[in-house]
Amino acid sequence: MAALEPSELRSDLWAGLKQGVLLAAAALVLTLPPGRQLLPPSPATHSRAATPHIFRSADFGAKPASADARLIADWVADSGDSRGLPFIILDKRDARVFVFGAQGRLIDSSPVLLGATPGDDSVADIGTRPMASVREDEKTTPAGRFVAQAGKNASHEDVVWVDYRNAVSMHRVRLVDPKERRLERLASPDPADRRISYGCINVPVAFFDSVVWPLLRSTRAVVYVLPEVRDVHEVFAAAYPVKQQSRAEAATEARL
Amino acid sequence: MNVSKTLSSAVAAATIVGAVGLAYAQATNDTTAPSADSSMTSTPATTPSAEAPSTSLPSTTAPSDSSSSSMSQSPSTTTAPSNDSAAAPSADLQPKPDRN
Repeated sequence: MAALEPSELRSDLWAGLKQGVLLAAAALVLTLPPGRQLLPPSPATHSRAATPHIFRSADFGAKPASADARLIADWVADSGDSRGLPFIILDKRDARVFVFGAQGRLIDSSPVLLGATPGDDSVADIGTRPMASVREDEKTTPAGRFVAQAGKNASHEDVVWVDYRNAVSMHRVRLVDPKERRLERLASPDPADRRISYGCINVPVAFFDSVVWPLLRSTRAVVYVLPEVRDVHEVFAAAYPVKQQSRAEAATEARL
Repeated sequence: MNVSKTLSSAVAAATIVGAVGLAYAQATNDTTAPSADSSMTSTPATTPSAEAPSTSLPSTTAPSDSSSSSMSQSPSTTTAPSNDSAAAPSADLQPKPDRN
């Protein structure tokens, strides 16, 4: 084989390079996807593709409930504010408690006995003071959001601590003083009759044993105590009406 | 076709394909990375804990707000805002007297 002249070699190399470029281009055209697919999706495209929010309401079944109780329960169910825990709505104005499973379905409801004095706060240090020193105007059941858990009181009775610092618990109705007529009050259809405790939430024994304790002895629950003096939106500032929100967002999506 | 032409053709093709392939791989990583990050940041929001309310839910601090205002009966003696300890009790609560 004769040695190539430099000019022939350069010519061969140049021709080879051109051929290689053409081959590479052909290979890339055949293997790579169109350039558009390399670009990241625009935020607008991404948001349009996102799954639309499906609004959820609490399921009260056929049980009657106040507008405020439904508002907060629906909001909890829709927003997930209870963080996957069961939740309890305590409607102080109606002196009634609603116990929900984690999915927002009502397990049961019951009338309850509450603090004798209307009010949405607890007096400072009331959680450490002896009962005998609690004045009549201090017998309030505080409003707000509490993470409740099972425990014992000083008599080693089963209780659900709602506001441990302020010594507010939910427990079986206690017949401490016959003059208080707690059982009669619990059976009264008038919510005003069901205001007798020092701040604790007294529930019927059967309700505690069949609903509250089985649910809460092994897990926590979020208790939403609705206010009775202040507005519900003042205490639960983020709460929104789920049905109105649903309609507003549906209208917004329809316009897009 | 002689050897030098074949070699130069192969080298040129391999170089171009390699360079474009590398660029493609990097571009693919860049486009997938943001979505991976966004899914990671959204994960806590879908599995929040009851004790650590998210900042998007200001009402979870409502007990603080609710307790911070005064009682109508005795405004000067109300509690400080109900803090997280009230909202998130410890694992072991010691027995103590309740408010009956």
